[in-house]
Amino acid sequence: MITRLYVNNFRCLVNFNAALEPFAVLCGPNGAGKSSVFDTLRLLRNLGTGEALLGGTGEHDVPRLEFTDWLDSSTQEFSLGFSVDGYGFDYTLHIEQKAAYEKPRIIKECASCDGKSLFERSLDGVDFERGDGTRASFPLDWRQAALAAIQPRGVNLAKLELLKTEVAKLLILRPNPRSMEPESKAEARHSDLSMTNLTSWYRSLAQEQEWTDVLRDLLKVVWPDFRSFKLVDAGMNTKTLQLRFENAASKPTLLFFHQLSDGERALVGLYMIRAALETNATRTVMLDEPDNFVGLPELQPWVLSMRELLDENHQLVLISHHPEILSSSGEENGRYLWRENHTAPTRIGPLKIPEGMAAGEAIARGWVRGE
Amino acid sequence: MASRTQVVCLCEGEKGDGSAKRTSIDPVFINRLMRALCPNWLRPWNGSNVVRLAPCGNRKGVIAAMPRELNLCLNAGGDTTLMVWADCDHDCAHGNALRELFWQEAQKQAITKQQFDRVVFIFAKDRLENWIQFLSTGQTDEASEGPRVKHERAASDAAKKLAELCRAGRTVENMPASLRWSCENWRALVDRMRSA
Repeated sequence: MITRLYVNNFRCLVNFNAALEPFAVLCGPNGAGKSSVFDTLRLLRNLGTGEALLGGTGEHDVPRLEFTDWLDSSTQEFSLGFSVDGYGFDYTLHIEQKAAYEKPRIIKECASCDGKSLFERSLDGVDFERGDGTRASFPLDWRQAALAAIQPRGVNLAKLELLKTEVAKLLILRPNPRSMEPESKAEARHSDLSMTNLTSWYRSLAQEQEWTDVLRDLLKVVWPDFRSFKLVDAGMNTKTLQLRFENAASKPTLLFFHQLSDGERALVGLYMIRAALETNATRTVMLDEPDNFVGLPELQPWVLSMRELLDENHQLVLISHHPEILSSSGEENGRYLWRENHTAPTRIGPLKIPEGMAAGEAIARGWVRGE
Repeated sequence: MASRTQVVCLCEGEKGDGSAKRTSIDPVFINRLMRALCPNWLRPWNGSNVVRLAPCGNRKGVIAAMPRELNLCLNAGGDTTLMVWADCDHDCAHGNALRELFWQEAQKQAITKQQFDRVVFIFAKDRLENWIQFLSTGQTDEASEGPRVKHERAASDAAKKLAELCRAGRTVENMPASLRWSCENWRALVDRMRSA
Protein backbone atom coordinates (compact mmCIF):
# COMPACT_ATOMS: atom_id res chain seq x y z
CA MET A 1 0.00 0.00 0.00
CA ILE A 2 1.24 3.49 -0.84
CA THR A 3 1.30 5.61 2.30
CA ARG A 4 3.04 8.73 1.01
CA LEU A 5 3.93 10.43 -2.25
CA TYR A 6 6.29 13.36 -2.83
CA VAL A 7 6.75 14.91 -6.27
CA ASN A 8 8.68 18.00 -7.34
CA ASN A 9 8.94 19.57 -10.80
CA PHE A 10 6.58 17.21 -12.65
CA ARG A 11 3.94 19.15 -14.62
CA CYS A 12 1.88 21.07 -12.02
CA LEU A 13 3.20 19.02 -9.09
CA VAL A 14 5.68 21.18 -7.21
CA ASN A 15 6.83 20.22 -3.74
CA PHE A 16 3.68 18.06 -3.70
CA ASN A 17 3.10 15.87 -0.65
CA ALA A 18 0.20 13.46 -0.24
CA ALA A 19 -0.56 10.93 2.50
CA LEU A 20 -2.84 8.07 1.49
CA GLU A 21 -5.07 5.68 3.45
CA PRO A 22 -6.30 2.26 2.28
CA PHE A 23 -9.27 4.05 0.70
CA ALA A 24 -8.91 7.47 -0.88
CA VAL A 25 -10.89 9.52 -3.35
CA LEU A 26 -9.09 12.31 -5.22
CA CYS A 27 -11.41 15.03 -6.43
CA GLY A 28 -11.27 18.61 -7.61
CA PRO A 29 -11.70 20.76 -10.69
CA ASN A 30 -10.35 19.92 -14.14
CA GLY A 31 -6.67 20.73 -14.44
CA ALA A 32 -6.09 20.42 -10.70
CA GLY A 33 -3.46 17.72 -11.20
CA LYS A 34 -5.36 14.55 -10.19
CA SER A 35 -4.37 12.54 -13.24
CA SER A 36 -0.81 13.84 -12.96
CA VAL A 37 -0.62 12.12 -9.57
CA PHE A 38 -1.51 8.81 -11.22
CA ASP A 39 0.85 9.50 -14.14
CA THR A 40 3.66 10.00 -11.63
CA LEU A 41 2.95 6.60 -10.13
CA ARG A 42 2.81 5.00 -13.57
CA LEU A 43 6.18 6.53 -14.40
CA LEU A 44 7.70 5.19 -11.18
CA ARG A 45 6.14 1.76 -11.65
CA ASN A 46 7.29 1.44 -15.24
CA LEU A 47 10.84 2.52 -14.39
CA GLY A 48 10.91 0.45 -11.18
CA THR A 49 9.87 -2.73 -12.96
CA GLY A 50 12.26 -2.21 -15.84
CA GLU A 51 9.40 -1.89 -18.32
CA ALA A 52 10.51 1.64 -19.15
CA LEU A 53 13.85 3.26 -19.89
CA LEU A 54 14.62 6.95 -19.79
CA GLY A 55 15.27 8.38 -23.25
CA GLY A 56 13.99 5.27 -25.05
CA THR A 57 11.40 5.17 -27.78
CA GLY A 58 9.51 2.02 -26.72
CA GLU A 59 5.83 1.99 -25.79
CA HIS A 60 6.46 2.58 -22.08
CA ASP A 61 9.74 4.48 -22.36
CA VAL A 62 10.17 8.08 -21.26
CA PRO A 63 11.69 9.96 -24.21
CA ARG A 64 11.76 13.33 -22.40
CA LEU A 65 10.83 14.69 -19.00
CA GLU A 66 7.76 16.84 -18.41
CA PHE A 67 8.91 19.65 -16.16
CA THR A 68 6.91 22.30 -14.40
CA ASP A 69 6.67 25.23 -16.88
CA TRP A 70 7.48 28.01 -14.46
CA LEU A 71 10.38 26.36 -12.61
CA ASP A 72 13.96 26.77 -13.72
CA SER A 73 15.21 23.34 -12.76
CA SER A 74 16.26 20.35 -14.83
CA THR A 75 15.74 17.80 -12.03
CA GLN A 76 12.59 15.94 -11.04
CA GLU A 77 12.30 14.45 -7.57
CA PHE A 78 10.03 11.62 -6.54
CA SER A 79 9.65 9.81 -3.25
CA LEU A 80 7.21 7.06 -2.30
CA GLY A 81 6.35 5.49 1.05
CA PHE A 82 5.00 1.94 1.09
CA SER A 83 3.60 -0.27 3.80
CA VAL A 84 4.08 -3.93 2.90
CA ASP A 85 3.39 -6.85 5.24
CA GLY A 86 4.17 -4.71 8.28
CA TYR A 87 7.37 -3.18 6.86
CA GLY A 88 7.73 0.50 6.03
CA PHE A 89 9.56 1.16 2.75
CA ASP A 90 10.82 4.40 1.26
CA TYR A 91 11.84 4.75 -2.37
CA THR A 92 13.40 7.90 -3.83
CA LEU A 93 14.24 8.71 -7.43
CA HIS A 94 15.78 11.86 -8.93
CA ILE A 95 16.02 12.24 -12.68
CA GLU A 96 17.34 15.05 -14.81
CA GLN A 97 17.40 16.29 -18.37
CA LYS A 98 19.69 19.28 -18.80
CA ALA A 99 18.59 20.21 -22.33
CA ALA A 100 15.90 19.16 -24.78
CA TYR A 101 18.52 17.53 -27.05
CA GLU A 102 20.03 15.51 -24.19
CA LYS A 103 18.64 12.22 -22.94
CA PRO A 104 17.18 12.14 -19.43
CA ARG A 105 19.10 10.17 -16.81
CA ILE A 106 18.77 8.93 -13.24
CA ILE A 107 21.08 10.88 -10.94
CA LYS A 108 19.96 9.52 -7.58
CA GLU A 109 17.99 6.50 -6.45
CA CYS A 110 17.69 4.82 -3.07
CA ALA A 111 15.41 2.54 -1.09
CA SER A 112 15.17 1.73 2.60
CA CYS A 113 13.14 -0.59 4.80
CA ASP A 114 12.19 0.56 8.31
CA GLY A 115 14.95 3.19 8.05
CA LYS A 116 17.67 0.72 6.98
CA SER A 117 19.20 1.26 3.54
CA LEU A 118 18.51 -1.40 0.92
CA PHE A 119 20.55 0.23 -1.82
CA GLU A 120 21.90 3.58 -2.93
CA ARG A 121 22.60 4.67 -6.44
CA SER A 122 24.39 7.70 -7.89
CA LEU A 123 25.96 8.52 -11.24
CA ASP A 124 28.90 6.32 -10.16
CA GLY A 125 26.81 3.18 -9.77
CA VAL A 126 24.74 1.10 -7.39
CA ASP A 127 25.87 0.23 -3.86
CA PHE A 128 24.06 -2.29 -1.67
CA GLU A 129 24.54 -4.80 1.13
CA ARG A 130 24.55 -8.47 0.24
CA GLY A 131 22.74 -11.07 2.31
CA ASP A 132 26.00 -11.96 4.10
CA GLY A 133 26.57 -8.35 5.21
CA THR A 134 29.34 -7.52 2.72
CA ARG A 135 28.99 -4.52 0.41
CA ALA A 136 28.68 -4.85 -3.33
CA SER A 137 28.53 -2.32 -6.11
CA PHE A 138 28.14 -2.27 -9.86
CA PRO A 139 27.86 0.36 -12.58
CA LEU A 140 24.48 0.81 -14.19
CA ASP A 141 23.14 2.46 -17.30
CA TRP A 142 21.86 5.91 -16.26
CA ARG A 143 18.63 5.27 -18.19
CA GLN A 144 17.69 2.25 -16.10
CA ALA A 145 16.29 2.08 -12.55
CA ALA A 146 18.41 0.12 -10.05
CA LEU A 147 15.25 -1.18 -8.39
CA ALA A 148 14.64 -3.29 -11.48
CA ALA A 149 18.30 -4.26 -11.94
CA ILE A 150 19.32 -5.68 -8.53
CA GLN A 151 18.81 -9.42 -8.36
CA PRO A 152 17.22 -10.23 -5.00
CA ARG A 153 19.12 -12.84 -3.00
CA GLY A 154 19.78 -12.93 0.74
CA VAL A 155 17.99 -11.53 3.76
CA ASN A 156 18.08 -7.80 2.95
CA LEU A 157 17.36 -8.47 -0.66
CA ALA A 158 14.25 -10.44 0.30
CA LYS A 159 12.92 -7.15 1.58
CA LEU A 160 13.90 -5.54 -1.69
CA GLU A 161 11.92 -8.24 -3.45
CA LEU A 162 8.89 -7.30 -1.34
CA LEU A 163 9.23 -3.71 -2.51
CA LYS A 164 9.74 -4.73 -6.14
CA THR A 165 6.67 -6.96 -6.04
CA GLU A 166 4.60 -4.19 -4.49
CA VAL A 167 5.67 -1.77 -7.19
CA ALA A 168 5.03 -4.34 -9.92
CA LYS A 169 1.53 -5.02 -8.60
CA LEU A 170 0.48 -1.38 -8.74
CA LEU A 171 -2.58 -1.30 -10.96
CA ILE A 172 -3.16 2.14 -12.45
CA LEU A 173 -6.07 2.29 -14.86
CA ARG A 174 -8.37 4.66 -16.68
CA PRO A 175 -10.94 2.19 -18.09
CA ASN A 176 -12.30 3.08 -21.50
CA PRO A 177 -14.67 0.42 -22.84
CA ARG A 178 -14.64 1.98 -26.30
CA SER A 179 -10.98 1.19 -26.71
CA MET A 180 -11.18 -2.39 -25.42
CA GLU A 181 -10.06 -4.68 -28.19
CA PRO A 182 -12.35 -7.56 -29.20
CA GLU A 183 -9.51 -10.04 -29.71
CA SER A 184 -6.31 -11.09 -27.99
CA LYS A 185 -3.21 -12.50 -29.62
CA ALA A 186 -1.37 -13.36 -26.38
CA GLU A 187 -1.66 -13.27 -22.62
CA ALA A 188 -0.80 -10.00 -20.90
CA ARG A 189 0.39 -9.99 -17.30
CA HIS A 190 -0.76 -6.39 -16.88
CA SER A 191 -3.64 -4.36 -18.10
CA ASP A 192 -2.70 -1.23 -19.99
CA LEU A 193 -3.97 2.18 -18.90
CA SER A 194 -7.29 2.14 -20.79
CA MET A 195 -7.80 -1.63 -20.45
CA THR A 196 -7.43 -1.86 -24.22
CA ASN A 197 -5.91 -5.31 -23.74
CA LEU A 198 -8.66 -6.53 -21.39
CA THR A 199 -9.05 -9.89 -23.14
CA SER A 200 -5.29 -10.49 -23.04
CA TRP A 201 -5.25 -9.63 -19.33
CA TYR A 202 -8.23 -11.95 -18.82
CA ARG A 203 -6.25 -14.78 -20.46
CA SER A 204 -3.45 -14.26 -17.97
CA LEU A 205 -5.62 -13.92 -14.84
CA ALA A 206 -7.86 -16.83 -15.83
CA GLN A 207 -4.98 -19.22 -15.24
CA GLU A 208 -5.88 -18.89 -11.56
CA GLN A 209 -9.08 -20.83 -11.06
CA GLU A 210 -9.87 -18.88 -7.89
CA TRP A 211 -9.87 -15.61 -9.83
CA THR A 212 -12.20 -17.02 -12.46
CA ASP A 213 -14.61 -18.33 -9.82
CA VAL A 214 -14.65 -15.02 -7.95
CA LEU A 215 -15.28 -13.05 -11.13
CA ARG A 216 -18.11 -15.33 -12.23
CA ASP A 217 -19.82 -15.09 -8.82
CA LEU A 218 -19.50 -11.31 -8.80
CA LEU A 219 -20.97 -10.91 -12.26
CA LYS A 220 -23.84 -13.28 -11.44
CA VAL A 221 -24.98 -10.74 -8.88
CA VAL A 222 -24.81 -7.92 -11.41
CA TRP A 223 -26.50 -9.95 -14.16
CA PRO A 224 -28.57 -12.81 -12.70
CA ASP A 225 -28.72 -14.51 -16.11
CA PHE A 226 -24.93 -14.54 -16.54
CA ARG A 227 -23.45 -18.04 -16.47
CA SER A 228 -19.87 -18.13 -17.68
CA PHE A 229 -17.01 -16.86 -19.81
CA LYS A 230 -15.38 -18.75 -22.64
CA LEU A 231 -12.27 -17.96 -24.64
CA VAL A 232 -13.11 -18.79 -28.24
CA ASP A 233 -10.52 -19.36 -30.98
CA ALA A 234 -10.55 -16.55 -33.53
CA GLY A 235 -7.47 -17.40 -35.58
CA MET A 236 -3.82 -18.27 -35.07
CA ASN A 237 -3.19 -17.86 -31.31
CA THR A 238 -6.04 -15.35 -31.29
CA LYS A 239 -8.84 -15.60 -28.75
CA THR A 240 -11.99 -13.66 -28.21
CA LEU A 241 -14.07 -13.53 -25.05
CA GLN A 242 -17.59 -14.88 -25.07
CA LEU A 243 -20.23 -14.59 -22.34
CA ARG A 244 -23.04 -17.05 -21.80
CA PHE A 245 -26.38 -15.81 -20.51
CA GLU A 246 -29.21 -18.12 -19.57
CA ASN A 247 -32.58 -17.93 -17.88
CA ALA A 248 -35.52 -20.23 -17.41
CA ALA A 249 -37.72 -18.40 -19.89
CA SER A 250 -35.52 -18.53 -22.98
CA LYS A 251 -32.70 -20.33 -24.76
CA PRO A 252 -29.11 -19.63 -23.68
CA THR A 253 -27.57 -16.61 -25.38
CA LEU A 254 -23.91 -16.35 -26.34
CA LEU A 255 -22.55 -12.84 -26.71
CA PHE A 256 -19.07 -11.84 -27.70
CA PHE A 257 -17.44 -9.24 -25.47
CA HIS A 258 -17.62 -6.58 -28.18
CA GLN A 259 -21.38 -7.12 -28.45
CA LEU A 260 -21.88 -5.84 -24.91
CA SER A 261 -22.70 -2.19 -24.35
CA ASP A 262 -20.01 0.29 -23.31
CA GLY A 263 -21.31 0.24 -19.73
CA GLU A 264 -21.39 -3.56 -19.62
CA ARG A 265 -17.83 -3.81 -20.90
CA ALA A 266 -16.77 -1.27 -18.27
CA LEU A 267 -18.48 -3.38 -15.59
CA VAL A 268 -16.66 -6.52 -16.70
CA GLY A 269 -13.41 -4.56 -16.39
CA LEU A 270 -14.27 -3.20 -12.95
CA TYR A 271 -15.21 -6.60 -11.57
CA MET A 272 -12.06 -8.15 -13.10
CA ILE A 273 -10.15 -5.62 -11.00
CA ARG A 274 -12.30 -6.46 -7.97
CA ALA A 275 -11.55 -10.19 -8.40
CA ALA A 276 -7.83 -9.40 -8.87
CA LEU A 277 -7.78 -7.50 -5.57
CA GLU A 278 -9.55 -10.35 -3.75
CA THR A 279 -7.15 -12.97 -5.08
CA ASN A 280 -4.04 -10.82 -4.49
CA ALA A 281 -3.22 -10.53 -8.19
CA THR A 282 -3.00 -6.87 -7.30
CA ARG A 283 -2.85 -5.08 -3.95
CA THR A 284 -2.97 -1.40 -4.81
CA VAL A 285 -5.56 -0.22 -7.30
CA MET A 286 -5.64 3.31 -8.71
CA LEU A 287 -8.59 4.08 -10.95
CA ASP A 288 -9.11 7.29 -12.85
CA GLU A 289 -12.85 7.94 -13.22
CA PRO A 290 -14.13 4.35 -13.01
CA ASP A 291 -17.67 5.77 -12.97
CA ASN A 292 -17.56 6.74 -16.65
CA PHE A 293 -20.03 4.61 -18.64
CA VAL A 294 -21.29 2.72 -15.55
CA GLY A 295 -24.99 2.95 -14.67
CA LEU A 296 -26.05 4.56 -11.41
CA PRO A 297 -27.46 1.34 -9.85
CA GLU A 298 -24.08 -0.37 -10.21
CA LEU A 299 -21.79 2.20 -8.61
CA GLN A 300 -22.51 1.79 -4.89
CA PRO A 301 -22.43 -2.02 -5.03
CA TRP A 302 -19.08 -1.96 -6.82
CA VAL A 303 -17.52 0.63 -4.49
CA LEU A 304 -18.70 -1.22 -1.38
CA SER A 305 -17.50 -4.54 -2.75
CA MET A 306 -14.06 -2.97 -3.26
CA ARG A 307 -14.01 -1.28 0.15
CA GLU A 308 -14.73 -4.54 1.96
CA LEU A 309 -11.34 -5.87 0.82
CA LEU A 310 -9.29 -2.92 2.07
CA ASP A 311 -6.78 -3.23 4.88
CA GLU A 312 -3.11 -2.41 5.48
CA ASN A 313 -2.17 -4.51 2.45
CA HIS A 314 -4.99 -3.69 0.05
CA GLN A 315 -5.64 -0.18 -1.21
CA LEU A 316 -8.06 1.60 -3.51
CA VAL A 317 -7.47 5.15 -4.74
CA LEU A 318 -10.09 6.66 -7.02
CA ILE A 319 -10.23 9.83 -9.05
CA SER A 320 -13.85 10.78 -9.45
CA HIS A 321 -16.27 13.63 -10.05
CA HIS A 322 -19.30 11.39 -9.44
CA PRO A 323 -21.59 12.41 -6.53
CA GLU A 324 -22.21 8.76 -5.61
CA ILE A 325 -18.48 8.13 -5.13
CA LEU A 326 -17.80 11.53 -3.55
CA SER A 327 -20.52 10.83 -1.00
CA SER A 328 -18.82 7.62 0.02
CA SER A 329 -15.56 9.37 0.87
CA GLY A 330 -15.89 12.38 3.16
CA GLU A 331 -13.23 14.23 5.07
CA GLU A 332 -11.29 11.19 6.22
CA ASN A 333 -10.83 9.57 2.82
CA GLY A 334 -11.57 12.40 0.42
CA ARG A 335 -8.66 14.45 -0.90
CA TYR A 336 -9.39 17.73 -2.64
CA LEU A 337 -6.87 18.96 -5.23
CA TRP A 338 -6.84 22.47 -6.64
CA ARG A 339 -4.71 25.20 -8.19
CA GLU A 340 -5.08 28.93 -7.82
CA ASN A 341 -4.40 29.47 -11.55
CA HIS A 342 -2.58 27.85 -14.47
CA THR A 343 0.84 28.94 -13.22
CA ALA A 344 0.26 27.80 -9.67
CA PRO A 345 1.15 24.38 -8.28
CA THR A 346 -1.32 21.69 -7.24
CA ARG A 347 -2.36 21.80 -3.64
CA ILE A 348 -4.05 18.99 -1.72
CA GLY A 349 -6.10 18.85 1.45
CA PRO A 350 -8.94 16.95 3.11
CA LEU A 351 -12.33 17.09 1.40
CA LYS A 352 -14.21 19.45 3.71
CA ILE A 353 -17.91 19.72 2.92
CA PRO A 354 -20.08 22.46 4.41
CA GLU A 355 -22.49 20.78 6.82
CA GLY A 356 -25.88 19.99 5.35
CA MET A 357 -24.72 19.99 1.74
CA ALA A 358 -24.03 17.03 -0.53
CA ALA A 359 -20.39 16.70 -1.61
CA GLY A 360 -21.19 16.90 -5.33
CA GLU A 361 -23.26 20.07 -4.87
CA ALA A 362 -20.62 21.71 -2.70
CA ILE A 363 -17.91 21.00 -5.28
CA ALA A 364 -20.15 22.18 -8.12
CA ARG A 365 -20.67 25.48 -6.30
CA GLY A 366 -16.95 25.85 -5.60
CA TRP A 367 -17.60 25.84 -1.89
CA VAL A 368 -15.02 23.19 -1.13
CA ARG A 369 -11.50 24.12 -0.20
CA GLY A 370 -8.90 21.66 0.90
CA GLU A 371 -7.43 24.04 3.47
CA MET B 1 -47.88 -8.24 1.12
CA ALA B 2 -45.48 -9.10 -1.64
CA SER B 3 -43.49 -12.26 -1.24
CA ARG B 4 -40.26 -10.58 -2.30
CA THR B 5 -38.58 -7.37 -1.35
CA GLN B 6 -35.69 -5.04 -1.96
CA VAL B 7 -33.94 -3.85 1.18
CA VAL B 8 -33.25 -0.16 1.62
CA CYS B 9 -30.98 0.40 4.61
CA LEU B 10 -30.78 3.72 6.38
CA CYS B 11 -27.67 3.87 8.48
CA GLU B 12 -25.26 6.18 10.19
CA GLY B 13 -22.11 7.06 8.31
CA GLU B 14 -20.74 9.42 5.73
CA LYS B 15 -23.31 10.77 3.30
CA GLY B 16 -20.95 13.33 1.90
CA ASP B 17 -22.48 16.35 3.58
CA GLY B 18 -20.00 16.91 6.35
CA SER B 19 -22.29 15.50 9.04
CA ALA B 20 -20.02 12.52 9.73
CA LYS B 21 -16.34 13.39 9.92
CA ARG B 22 -15.03 9.84 10.14
CA THR B 23 -15.72 7.29 7.47
CA SER B 24 -18.05 4.72 8.98
CA ILE B 25 -17.60 1.00 8.67
CA ASP B 26 -21.38 0.57 8.86
CA PRO B 27 -22.14 0.58 5.10
CA VAL B 28 -19.51 -2.09 4.43
CA PHE B 29 -20.69 -4.26 7.35
CA ILE B 30 -24.37 -3.99 6.41
CA ASN B 31 -23.76 -4.51 2.70
CA ARG B 32 -21.69 -7.66 3.27
CA LEU B 33 -24.13 -9.04 5.86
CA MET B 34 -27.16 -8.61 3.63
CA ARG B 35 -25.42 -10.04 0.60
CA ALA B 36 -24.07 -12.99 2.58
CA LEU B 37 -27.51 -13.69 4.01
CA CYS B 38 -28.97 -13.42 0.52
CA PRO B 39 -32.52 -14.36 1.53
CA ASN B 40 -34.43 -16.00 -1.30
CA TRP B 41 -37.34 -13.63 -0.92
CA LEU B 42 -35.43 -10.61 -2.18
CA ARG B 43 -37.22 -8.75 -4.95
CA PRO B 44 -37.91 -10.72 -8.13
CA TRP B 45 -35.63 -8.71 -10.39
CA ASN B 46 -32.18 -9.38 -9.04
CA GLY B 47 -29.20 -7.18 -9.56
CA SER B 48 -26.36 -5.69 -7.66
CA ASN B 49 -28.53 -2.98 -6.07
CA VAL B 50 -30.95 -5.36 -4.40
CA VAL B 51 -29.53 -3.91 -1.19
CA ARG B 52 -29.32 -0.12 -1.25
CA LEU B 53 -27.43 1.68 1.51
CA ALA B 54 -28.47 5.22 2.36
CA PRO B 55 -26.06 6.68 4.92
CA CYS B 56 -27.63 9.59 6.81
CA GLY B 57 -24.67 11.04 8.68
CA ASN B 58 -25.39 10.66 12.39
CA ARG B 59 -28.24 9.09 14.37
CA LYS B 60 -30.20 12.33 14.33
CA GLY B 61 -30.04 12.21 10.55
CA VAL B 62 -31.32 8.62 10.50
CA ILE B 63 -34.27 9.49 12.76
CA ALA B 64 -35.16 12.51 10.63
CA ALA B 65 -34.90 10.59 7.36
CA MET B 66 -36.88 7.52 8.43
CA PRO B 67 -40.51 8.70 7.94
CA ARG B 68 -39.86 10.11 4.47
CA GLU B 69 -37.92 7.01 3.42
CA LEU B 70 -40.66 4.74 4.80
CA ASN B 71 -43.26 6.62 2.77
CA LEU B 72 -41.09 6.28 -0.34
CA CYS B 73 -40.70 2.54 0.26
CA LEU B 74 -44.43 2.09 0.90
CA ASN B 75 -45.25 4.03 -2.26
CA ALA B 76 -42.82 1.82 -4.16
CA GLY B 77 -44.97 -1.15 -3.17
CA GLY B 78 -44.39 -4.33 -1.25
CA ASP B 79 -41.21 -5.01 -3.20
CA THR B 80 -39.30 -2.78 -0.83
CA THR B 81 -38.50 -3.14 2.85
CA LEU B 82 -36.93 -0.43 4.96
CA MET B 83 -34.23 -1.36 7.44
CA VAL B 84 -32.92 1.17 9.90
CA TRP B 85 -29.47 0.77 11.45
CA ALA B 86 -28.43 3.07 14.29
CA ASP B 87 -26.72 3.16 17.67
CA CYS B 88 -28.53 3.38 21.02
CA ASP B 89 -25.66 5.45 22.45
CA HIS B 90 -25.69 6.68 26.04
CA ASP B 91 -29.21 8.17 25.96
CA CYS B 92 -31.13 5.01 25.07
CA ALA B 93 -30.71 2.09 27.43
CA HIS B 94 -31.93 -0.49 24.92
CA GLY B 95 -33.36 -0.95 21.45
CA ASN B 96 -36.97 -0.41 22.44
CA ALA B 97 -36.12 3.01 23.87
CA LEU B 98 -34.53 4.08 20.59
CA ARG B 99 -37.38 2.54 18.63
CA GLU B 100 -39.69 4.81 20.60
CA LEU B 101 -37.73 7.87 19.41
CA PHE B 102 -38.25 6.74 15.84
CA TRP B 103 -41.95 6.14 16.51
CA GLN B 104 -42.37 9.67 17.88
CA GLU B 105 -40.80 11.11 14.73
CA ALA B 106 -42.91 8.83 12.53
CA GLN B 107 -46.13 9.98 14.18
CA LYS B 108 -45.29 13.60 13.34
CA GLN B 109 -45.26 12.52 9.69
CA ALA B 110 -48.63 10.67 9.95
CA ILE B 111 -47.10 7.20 9.72
CA THR B 112 -49.54 4.57 11.07
CA LYS B 113 -48.58 1.93 13.63
CA GLN B 114 -49.11 -0.81 11.04
CA GLN B 115 -46.78 0.96 8.59
CA PHE B 116 -44.20 1.61 11.29
CA ASP B 117 -44.18 -2.04 12.34
CA ARG B 118 -42.94 -3.03 8.89
CA VAL B 119 -39.63 -1.28 9.48
CA VAL B 120 -36.82 -3.59 10.53
CA PHE B 121 -34.72 -1.94 13.24
CA ILE B 122 -31.14 -3.02 13.86
CA PHE B 123 -29.57 -1.15 16.77
CA ALA B 124 -26.10 -1.58 18.24
CA LYS B 125 -25.49 -0.30 21.75
CA ASP B 126 -22.69 2.17 21.06
CA ARG B 127 -21.19 1.18 17.75
CA LEU B 128 -20.95 -1.88 15.54
CA GLU B 129 -17.43 -2.29 16.93
CA ASN B 130 -18.78 -4.28 19.89
CA TRP B 131 -20.48 -6.71 17.55
CA ILE B 132 -17.34 -7.01 15.46
CA GLN B 133 -15.28 -7.67 18.59
CA PHE B 134 -17.77 -10.35 19.64
CA LEU B 135 -17.84 -11.96 16.20
CA SER B 136 -14.04 -11.94 16.03
CA THR B 137 -13.21 -13.04 19.58
CA GLY B 138 -16.43 -14.44 21.05
CA GLN B 139 -16.40 -11.77 23.78
CA THR B 140 -17.40 -8.17 24.18
CA ASP B 141 -18.70 -5.85 26.87
CA GLU B 142 -21.31 -3.45 25.59
CA ALA B 143 -20.89 -1.32 28.69
CA SER B 144 -17.88 0.19 26.95
CA GLU B 145 -17.21 0.94 23.30
CA GLY B 146 -15.47 -1.84 21.41
CA PRO B 147 -12.02 -1.16 19.92
CA ARG B 148 -12.07 1.00 16.81
CA VAL B 149 -12.02 -1.16 13.68
CA LYS B 150 -9.09 0.01 11.62
CA HIS B 151 -9.85 -1.57 8.31
CA GLU B 152 -13.05 -2.26 6.43
CA ARG B 153 -11.95 -5.80 5.64
CA ALA B 154 -12.31 -6.64 9.36
CA ALA B 155 -15.87 -5.31 9.32
CA SER B 156 -16.63 -7.36 6.23
CA ASP B 157 -15.16 -10.55 7.74
CA ALA B 158 -17.25 -10.09 10.88
CA ALA B 159 -20.39 -9.56 8.80
CA LYS B 160 -19.75 -12.86 7.02
CA LYS B 161 -19.47 -14.61 10.38
CA LEU B 162 -22.74 -13.10 11.56
CA ALA B 163 -24.43 -14.25 8.35
CA GLU B 164 -23.14 -17.79 8.97
CA LEU B 165 -24.53 -17.77 12.52
CA CYS B 166 -27.81 -16.39 11.29
CA ARG B 167 -28.18 -18.92 8.50
CA ALA B 168 -27.39 -21.78 10.86
CA GLY B 169 -30.01 -20.40 13.29
CA ARG B 170 -27.71 -21.21 16.19
CA THR B 171 -28.16 -19.76 19.65
CA VAL B 172 -24.86 -18.25 20.65
CA GLU B 173 -23.76 -17.74 24.23
CA ASN B 174 -22.56 -14.29 25.30
CA MET B 175 -24.26 -12.64 22.36
CA PRO B 176 -24.45 -8.90 23.06
CA ALA B 177 -27.96 -7.87 24.09
CA SER B 178 -28.28 -5.35 21.25
CA LEU B 179 -27.28 -7.96 18.69
CA ARG B 180 -29.79 -10.46 20.11
CA TRP B 181 -32.54 -7.79 20.01
CA SER B 182 -31.65 -6.91 16.40
CA CYS B 183 -31.54 -10.55 15.30
CA GLU B 184 -35.07 -11.02 16.66
CA ASN B 185 -36.25 -8.14 14.48
CA TRP B 186 -34.57 -9.67 11.45
CA ARG B 187 -36.15 -13.06 12.19
CA ALA B 188 -39.56 -11.40 12.45
CA LEU B 189 -39.08 -10.08 8.92
CA VAL B 190 -37.96 -13.51 7.74
CA ASP B 191 -41.08 -15.11 9.25
CA ARG B 192 -43.26 -12.41 7.73
CA MET B 193 -41.79 -12.98 4.27
CA ARG B 194 -42.04 -16.76 4.56
CA SER B 195 -45.68 -16.65 5.56
CA ALA B 196 -46.58 -14.19 2.79
